Amino acid sequence: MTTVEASVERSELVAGTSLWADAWKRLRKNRLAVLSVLVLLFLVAACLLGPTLTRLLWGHTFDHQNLAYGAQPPSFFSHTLLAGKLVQAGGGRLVVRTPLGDVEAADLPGADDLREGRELTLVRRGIVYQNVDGFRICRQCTAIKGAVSEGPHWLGTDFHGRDLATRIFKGGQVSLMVGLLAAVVSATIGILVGAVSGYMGGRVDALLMRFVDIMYSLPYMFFVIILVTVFGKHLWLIFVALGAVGWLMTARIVRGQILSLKEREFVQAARSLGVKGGSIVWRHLIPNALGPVIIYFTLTIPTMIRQEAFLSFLGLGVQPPNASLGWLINEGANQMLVFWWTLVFPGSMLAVLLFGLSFLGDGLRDALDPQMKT
Amino acid sequence: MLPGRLRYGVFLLAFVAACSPHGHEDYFGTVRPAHPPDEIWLNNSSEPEYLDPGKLSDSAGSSIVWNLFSGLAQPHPVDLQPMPDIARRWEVSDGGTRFTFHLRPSQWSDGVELTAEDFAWSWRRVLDPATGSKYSSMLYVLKNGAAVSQRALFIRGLPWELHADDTPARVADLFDEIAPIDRVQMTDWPEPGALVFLGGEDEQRPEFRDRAIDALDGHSIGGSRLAVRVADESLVGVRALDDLTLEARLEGPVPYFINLMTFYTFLPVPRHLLERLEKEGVNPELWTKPEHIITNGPYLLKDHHFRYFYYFEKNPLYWEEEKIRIARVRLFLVESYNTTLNLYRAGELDWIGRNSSLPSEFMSYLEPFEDFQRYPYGSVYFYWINTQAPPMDNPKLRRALSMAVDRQSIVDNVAQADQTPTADLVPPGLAGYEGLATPIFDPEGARAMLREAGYENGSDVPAITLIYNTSEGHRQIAEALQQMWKEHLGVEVTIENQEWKVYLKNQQMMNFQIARMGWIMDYADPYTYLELLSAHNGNNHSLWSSREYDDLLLSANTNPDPAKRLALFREAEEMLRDATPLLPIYIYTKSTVLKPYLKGYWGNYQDKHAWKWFWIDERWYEGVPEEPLPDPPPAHYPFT
Amino acid sequence: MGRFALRRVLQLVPTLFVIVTVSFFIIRLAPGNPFDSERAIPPEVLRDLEAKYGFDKPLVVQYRMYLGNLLRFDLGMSTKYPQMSVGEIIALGFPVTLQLGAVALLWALLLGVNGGIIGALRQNTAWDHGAMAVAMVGISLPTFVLGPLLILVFSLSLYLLPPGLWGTWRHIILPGITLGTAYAAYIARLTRGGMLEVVRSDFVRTARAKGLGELVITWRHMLKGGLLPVVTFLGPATANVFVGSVVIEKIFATPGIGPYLVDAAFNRDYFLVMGIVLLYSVFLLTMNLVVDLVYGFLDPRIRYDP
Repeated sequence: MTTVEASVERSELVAGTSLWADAWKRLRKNRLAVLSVLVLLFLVAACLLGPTLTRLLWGHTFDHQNLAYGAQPPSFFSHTLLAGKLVQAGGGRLVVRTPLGDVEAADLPGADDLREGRELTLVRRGIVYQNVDGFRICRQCTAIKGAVSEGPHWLGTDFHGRDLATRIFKGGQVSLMVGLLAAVVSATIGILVGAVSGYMGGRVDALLMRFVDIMYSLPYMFFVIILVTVFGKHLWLIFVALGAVGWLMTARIVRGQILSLKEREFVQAARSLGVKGGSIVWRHLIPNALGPVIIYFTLTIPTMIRQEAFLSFLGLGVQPPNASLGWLINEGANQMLVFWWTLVFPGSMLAVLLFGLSFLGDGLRDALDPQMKT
Repeated sequence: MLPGRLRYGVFLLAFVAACSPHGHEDYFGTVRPAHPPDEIWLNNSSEPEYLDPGKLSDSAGSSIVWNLFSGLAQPHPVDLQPMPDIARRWEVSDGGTRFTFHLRPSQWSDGVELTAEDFAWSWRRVLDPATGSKYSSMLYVLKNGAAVSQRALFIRGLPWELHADDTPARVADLFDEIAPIDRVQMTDWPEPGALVFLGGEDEQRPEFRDRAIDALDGHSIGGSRLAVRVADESLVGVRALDDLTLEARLEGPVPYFINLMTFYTFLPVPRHLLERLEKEGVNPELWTKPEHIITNGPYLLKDHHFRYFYYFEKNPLYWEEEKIRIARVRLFLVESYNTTLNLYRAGELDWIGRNSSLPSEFMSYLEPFEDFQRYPYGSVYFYWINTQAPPMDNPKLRRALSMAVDRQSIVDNVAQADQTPTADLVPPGLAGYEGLATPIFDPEGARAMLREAGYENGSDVPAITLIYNTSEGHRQIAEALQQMWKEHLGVEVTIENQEWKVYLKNQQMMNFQIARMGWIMDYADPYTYLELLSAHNGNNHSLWSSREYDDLLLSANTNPDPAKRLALFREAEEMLRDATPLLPIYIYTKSTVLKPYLKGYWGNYQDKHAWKWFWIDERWYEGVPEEPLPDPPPAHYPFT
Repeated sequence: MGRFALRRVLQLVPTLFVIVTVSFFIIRLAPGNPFDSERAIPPEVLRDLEAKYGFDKPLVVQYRMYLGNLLRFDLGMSTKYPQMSVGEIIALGFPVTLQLGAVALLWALLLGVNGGIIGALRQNTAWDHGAMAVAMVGISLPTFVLGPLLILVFSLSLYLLPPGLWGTWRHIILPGITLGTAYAAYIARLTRGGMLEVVRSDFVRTARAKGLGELVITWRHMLKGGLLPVVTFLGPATANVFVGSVVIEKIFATPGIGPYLVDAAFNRDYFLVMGIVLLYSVFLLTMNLVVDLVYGFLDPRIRYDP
């Protein structure tokens, strides 16, 4: 009896180490997965370093508003703000004397209210009033003297004149953090509860699953609204709120897998050999149930990111002037008709991020599948 | 890279090209009506809380109710001056404190005659607190209105000279040891007596009332027997002199009382229907459901699907039924502005409705279209300042913050709808009022004022938080303010958005330093704004009050000379400017899109558009006409 | 099996009780009350309003009253829409949401299962990557982007379908597709994952050894096994679809109950919130029950032991 047990222990040990080592080997062979890792690393680096880079290069910060420069389309060139003196006004027609010559603007709403001799700044805008040369009068920019260079804004600016690229990087940081942390929290709780529930079965299973049902039937909006309104708005509250609901699904999946796995021959064998419950769960059931969990995990990150966007949409997520990717996309979707770049760029960023996460998840899944060996 | 405009153009090309067979490039979407010429499709945005005029308090309900019920007076669709409606004419007497209305014979939609008593009963009903009317304070101008609504105690049989100076104090003394009192008011209508408003916490008041009645009712003082009861609706200063004559008595002269008649809380309610439902065992609260409702206005409510649509048909018994050209109105309840604009473009809506506001990002895009309209709107966007919360208890700091706001920039770059930037509460020109014209932006002065307030450079100002309710537009303005105060004063302000109910609660509890607010005029008179800051006004969220200010308002309203009255208002507003309990930003404009075939629509500063004026230019079924048809507004109705 | 089902049905009662209790008290913890408004309400009016709904009584008394009414299937009156009872509101909105949800689910299953099968059978080929990339687009495209995009193309450019509202079959297509696509993507990925699990399992190998055709193996054996994770996902997903999505019903202005929960929570419309939570819970619990039963059908190795 003792010899048999010893041999089981040893073979388990061998299988255990080779399981993860093999997985790593297989993952490296999967070109798509490796590419995904590289892309993800690049994106993470961009999000972490991007804001510093744009600040050092062009002085952009994620929260600096230049209202006169709002909603500029993307451009690789610096734009010029022209300041000058109003030399002729009336009849909806304005002439402004600038260092680069006289600029005429016609059909300007409110042009009749302006007095001659006033300092004016002209700004090139993406969407212009009906006037000449793509210039628009900016009545309040008296602080800027002469021609001032601004930009470039490679991805354009938002409605407030904030550099969109910088905001996307900053938003990427927030989204990645929310997505990852919430997903890790939910996966951990979910695997534990699901495994225990599935393996123990009976009363424990019934109790845990009823608990999951109850949690699931409570719309999490309440938790979030109440948490946020009572305790104030903190980013960690969003993790708690999202993590608290996210694990339920994982638990159900793991339980389903384990319910099915524990009737399999190899588990029966281990059990008949007297391997202890905890060991069976840890060595046999969880590794075998990991495939769907990893797939679900890669699906959880985008879900979390989107739920965070939904919360921001309701005013319960990140607070302005901060932003997350979902927040930026929501804003972009509302303005899609007018400022396309505010949707396209944050949207692409999120899409690439999610593509990377998903292909990495697939790679991991294939790598971790113990049956691949045979 | 392509130049900005060109790239934008490429993006829109597909849309414009695809649009042209159905639409016209000068217009935003289709321009051929998708329905018969006697029908219109509008949006109301949200499901109203009530269609009961007496209980109504939201703008979603008001835009429907104006078309279902007719009051004593109706606003002219352009200048909003009250003109005869159910009342053929009216007279003012007793120094502006008594109004007599002469009604034209008219019927409810079930054929029952409408009488003056219907109005009197409806007004009393609003003031009865058991009705639960959130706008009952609109009727406090009526004699004893406030007393009835607040369940004051009415005491008759007092032995003292009613208008002697010490009588209120003597009455108050009666309540010593019995109940705390807020104030005592003498009245001689409908019979001489005193009205005692009890104090204490809201929850304790019923108990105080019972105790006071127990102790004082039947009690004899100086040979006179007191009769004490809770002020009931019968005390309200309104009565029917006969079937077609209504008399309203007011607490004091109210120069704008006729304007109030166009406000929905004064509309009549079908008493006979409510009483019948009660008898039949139906909850009378449900009287506005399509299967029960009886109205007296231009339209009848025929169908309703909760949060989806309302359907109306013309009322054949309406007194000027012959003027109505639109027989059927379909009113949708679409909340999202993006969806509303989509439906409008696809021709599923003729007008986006008065409750849909266009987001500022879309303004410069929509402005060039022919079907875009904009006109001034009588509402002020401002921030309350909690004048008791340090450091905002320093009036000079408040003033400095106000001066450092570049309002023109907010209007030009954030709000973007040609709003009028203002540093004053009352819009200039309102009913002939000459505004203060306070400079709207003065960074130098602001910095000087900040030093006067005792701060060196702004960074030594203690933490300030500004709150606003969750909304894209409010956020953009709050962010702009944050930036301006940092730039011009060096003051760091935290901004925080709050969910609506939380926001309201915090505003009520005065749990804020600076909070966003918008105030829409109830009637066309400066008093609608100035009364906001009076000490007893429940909507005053600044904790600022001044006896002197309240006295100025009172003396203005009792002054028979209109010019002098406005001058006194101006003095009051100067007090406000120096105290800065609020921080005005701009006076709204209303921007909307309206199909070119929908006529009988004129912009006005309360954004009231009765469907009975609407009609459809049928030439648009054939194509885009060369010239618009003339569309003159109706002449003012004379007294008859 | 029959006894198992019966026991699970009986278990619903205490579960629902806990849900009602917890949510009843949680909603009341939130600051604010149903009658707060921008304009000050006279205190006497406010008191009478509160008394009408019983809000002036201690919370425990209100809870007892609510439970009592619930036993008589009375869900109470809405405070935000005082003319409507919660029962009426649900009866009007739920059928709309059900129809929308059915279309969305149909679309999700059609697209998802087929996409997943293609991915699994052609693992690591261009087909697989293509299908999964499309699925990823479905997942990463939030509904508030997909919806407006579909409207832009099909309603405002091609004038094929209405951009919103309700009433005919044409109104249901765009919101149904928008709502279903995200779920289709999940289903595709789960189907693919689940099928890959069984591709190399013993019973498939046995079937293949018996000389059964590939098509039969795919349909009868692999798909049955591969659908296990999908079924787990479908339980709550169905409930989610049917209870509707706030975003979709707002974008398309369909008169379903999707937006009611969040709106009611914001308005502190206590009884409406409770009604929707209850509806949602009953629906979800039933779906989970069905999932568990279907599980036994798909994988006979699962024992329904205590």
